[in-house]
Order: sequence, then structure tokens, then C-alpha cells
Amino acid sequence: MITRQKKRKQIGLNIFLSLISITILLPFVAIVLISFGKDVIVVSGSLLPSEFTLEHYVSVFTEYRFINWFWNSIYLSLGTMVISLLITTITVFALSRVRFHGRDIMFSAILLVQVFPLTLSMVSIFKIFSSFGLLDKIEGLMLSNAVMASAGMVLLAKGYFDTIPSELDEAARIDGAGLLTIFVKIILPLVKPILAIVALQSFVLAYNEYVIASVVMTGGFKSMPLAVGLQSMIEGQYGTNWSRYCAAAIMGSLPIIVLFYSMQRYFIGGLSEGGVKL
Amino acid sequence: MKKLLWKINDSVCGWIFMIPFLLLFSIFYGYPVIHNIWLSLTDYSGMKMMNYGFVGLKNYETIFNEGLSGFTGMLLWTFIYAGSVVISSLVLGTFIAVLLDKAGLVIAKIYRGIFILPWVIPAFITILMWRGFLNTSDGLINSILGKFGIPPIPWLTDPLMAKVSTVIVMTWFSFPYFIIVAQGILKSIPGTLYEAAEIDGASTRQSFVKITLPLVVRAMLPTLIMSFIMQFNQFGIYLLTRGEPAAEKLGDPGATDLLITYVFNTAFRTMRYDLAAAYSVIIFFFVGAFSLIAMKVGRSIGSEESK
Repeated sequence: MITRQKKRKQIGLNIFLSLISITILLPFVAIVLISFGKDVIVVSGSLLPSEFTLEHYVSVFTEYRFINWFWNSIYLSLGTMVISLLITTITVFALSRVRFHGRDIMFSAILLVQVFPLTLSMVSIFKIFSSFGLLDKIEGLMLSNAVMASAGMVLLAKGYFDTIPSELDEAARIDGAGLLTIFVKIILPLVKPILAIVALQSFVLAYNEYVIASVVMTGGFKSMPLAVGLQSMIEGQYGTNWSRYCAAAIMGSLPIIVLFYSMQRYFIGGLSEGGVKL
Repeated sequence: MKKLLWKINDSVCGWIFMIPFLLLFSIFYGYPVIHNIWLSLTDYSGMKMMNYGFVGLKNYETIFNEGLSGFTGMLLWTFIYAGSVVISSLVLGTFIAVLLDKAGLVIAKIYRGIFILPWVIPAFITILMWRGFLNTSDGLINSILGKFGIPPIPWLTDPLMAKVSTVIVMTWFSFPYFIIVAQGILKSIPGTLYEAAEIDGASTRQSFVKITLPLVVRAMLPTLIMSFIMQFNQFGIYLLTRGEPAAEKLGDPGATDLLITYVFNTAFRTMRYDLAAAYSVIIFFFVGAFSLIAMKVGRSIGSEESK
């Protein structure tokens, strides 16, 4: 009797969860259909296109700078990832393992200032980029993205570094090891999981950032990263072609989708840790 | 002797390790914050690019006197918007996390893989997509509704409807995050609590409202405040509605303008860099206060746990 009731509950649960899944998937299914459809929904008035075609995908390459945008974004994200990884690791090592004057105050100051959205000070950001000669240079964006990423990850990463017992480095010190040795030989191997999270999050942040990029990449279509380029497809002077936009959107999100689902463990680990520990 | 050497060594090395970060941080965060405060005290604008100068608190006076009607409304809306998105994502996310907990292990993983999609796919792509879907005249949603004879709904063109739409769309983006965080917390809630509640005759709904939600909220409090800050500064709105429907008077905030999008428009559309800077100083105070609270709350929860 009880098992039957349980079974019925399970079925109800599954129906409910499937319904939510459908509502979530629907917009994405629509994007795929629109990108392959010969006649867009608006014209035919039907969700299923009457004929499938690849022409929108081809035109994304022939009529827009999609390839440039794509490589710009990949280059930007990889560069951001490397820089952010380097500075986050040594910074958090110092904040967590080295006792120096003013450490706690500085840690609080970083946490306080990093919530300030850079979007608010685009005038100042533009000035910085132009006075350092970084306008229209992807390397400049790498720097601003990397510091954004690492300022945002300092708290999470420090939480992880702090879980490593301090007896480990004290023992090493008594054996005469310097800070650098402790950093490279003892701490680094133990914090690999959090470094993976820092790397992934930095990559994604750089891939998704569009506000600063849209203001400082002044070199026209060729120098845009994807986030800015896709926007230009919608705000172009010839009106929006949704089929082409959807085709570009699908290709543009592929790297992130592949990255996410192959590294899901790290993304989700980082999230639930940040949620509970913060 | 050796200990003393370590101490000196640590202080020097600590700062050396911090140099790269501090350098970049002061360039990209420190300078803008200070430069903004300075700009907010000048009359720097598109009209006065070169010969601008110090004007004292005039910009703040303008904001609080002339612009007061539009400003208070927008500030209020920013709070309501951020609060509604955070609360609805929290409830929806926790609810789904509880359901996933009850489903089989493998099935739950598949469902989670789907639910997480809005969070995975780059937001700049999906926000623009929503903008197309919600278009009144030829958007996907109205086209489908039209099949059933429902007249077009002004999703983004009616001021009130646009506000509701932005909350729904942004909740769609942020609830997956809450599923994952809530799942982590649910694992730490002892099952005996629910068993006891069941013996006392509590329904499933009651134990969700009385046990699960309060516990999740408590564990999540710092995250909730940080999410509130994130929504408070949600620039995605700019891609979704550009702050429109626009106000009647040029330069006033539109119906869906948050503080942050309004500042961006003030700077780059009307070229009032001075006013934009004054606004961002105000925002900085708000956001700073929120994050101080978040840090305090986080610390008190942390110390409670270690007791």
C-alpha cells in the first residue's frame, strides 16, 4: 500500500520536473529551430519551419566578422585566465599564509571595494585605457577582466587556502624552507581544485563581459569580442535578422557549453562552496 | 633570533606577493572610485570637455532637488527589482532543489543539467534572445499566443508590464544558481528533523515552509546579500530593455531603468559625465553598506558555526 503511494508520488514528481524542464528548454529549442528554419516563425506563423537550411550559418561567416569575434573572445578569455590565475594564487597565498602588517585591513578593503561595479565609472575606465595606450587592445581588456575575476575570487580562494593546516608550513620552516619553497612545494599541490575553479570562472567572466569591451574596443567590427559583436548584429543599421543572430548565438555559446558540461564538477563545487562558506 | 628574522621576512615578502594584484587593483578599482568622486564635484560634460572645473556639491543638489521625482522612483524600483528577483529565485531554486532531492540520483543529475542551462549559456546571448522573444509585434511569445487568438501583450512596451517582464526574465537567469547552492545546504540538514516533523503530523508543504526554507535562508544569508548587490547592479537590464519604456521628459529615468543603467545612459547618451559620477558615488555608498552588512553577517554565522 505504502509502496504504491510512493510510486504515485514519484510519478507526479517526475511529471512536474519534466514540465519545468520543458519550459526551460523551450526557448533554446526555439533558437535552434529559428537558426535552421528557412522561413522564420513570424513569416510562416508556425513553430516548425517548413524547410531546413544552413544558409544562416553560412551568412554568419560571410557577412559578419564572426571568425574575428570568436578568436578575439577565445584569446581574451585564455589570457584573462592565465593572468587571473597567477595573481590570484600569489595574492591569496600571501593573504592566507604570510603574516604581514596590515593584512587583515587590506583583505577587508579589497572585499569592500570589489563590489563597486566598474560599469559605473566607464568614463574613468576609458581614461585609464587611453592613457596607458590600451584602447582597442585585447591585452588591456585581459588586465581589467583578470583583476575583476581575481578580486571576486579572493574570498572563495582564501577560504580554501585556510583549510590547509598551518602545521604543514611551520614544519617546513623549521626544516629551513623559505616562503617561496613553501608556496611552490607545499601549498600549490594542495590547492589545485580551487585553482581549477578560479581558472574556469575567470575564463567565463572574460567571455561574458561586454560593458567595458563595448566602450574600449574602438576599432570597429574587426576588433570586437563576441559579446560586443553579437550585440552589433541586433543593433545594426539594417534591422535585426533573428535567424542569423540565433545561428551566431548557438556557435558562440558552444565553447562555454562544452567547457561547462565537461567540467561541471568544478563549477558546481565552486558554487556550493561559495554559498556555504562565504 | 630565527623567529624574528621570519617575522621581518614575512612582512616584506607578504607585500611583495601582493604587488601585482594591488597594482592592477588600484588602477582598475582604486582610481575609478577616486576619479569618480572628483568628477562628481566638477561640471565635466559633453559640452565642457576641456574647460571644466570644480563646482562643489552642485551635482548632488541637482539630483536631490530637480531630479528628485524621477530619482526616488528609480531608487525604489531598483530595490523592489533586486528584492523580487532574489526572493523568487531563492524560493524557486530551493523548491526545485528539494524536489531533486526526492527524485532518483541519476534522474536528478539529468534534470539539474537541464535546469542549469540558463546559468550556463552566456548571459549576453540569452538576454538579447529574450528581447526578441518579448517583442510586441513579432516576438515569439506573442506569435504563439496569437495562434490561440490572444491579442498581443505589450511585454516590454507598457511601463508596468515591462517591470514585471524584467523580474521574470532575470529570475529565469538566476534561479539555477540557487538550486545548486540550496542542494549543497540541503545535504547538511539532518533527516531526523523531517522525520520528527512527520511524526508530529506536519504536511510536506509545512515542512518545506517551516524547516527547509528557514534553514536554507540562514545558511545562505551572505550569498543572498551578495546576490542582492549583484541584482542591484544588474547591467543585463540594459541589453533587455535599455531602461525603456522611456520617460516623457528627456534625461529622466525610464520605467525599467535601474540606478546602474541610468548612470550609463546619463554618461553616454546625454553626456552628463558630472551627474553620472555623482550618481555612481551615491550607488557606491549603498553597495558599500550592503557589502559591509554581508561581511558582518558572514562573520557572525562563521563564528557561530565554529563554536
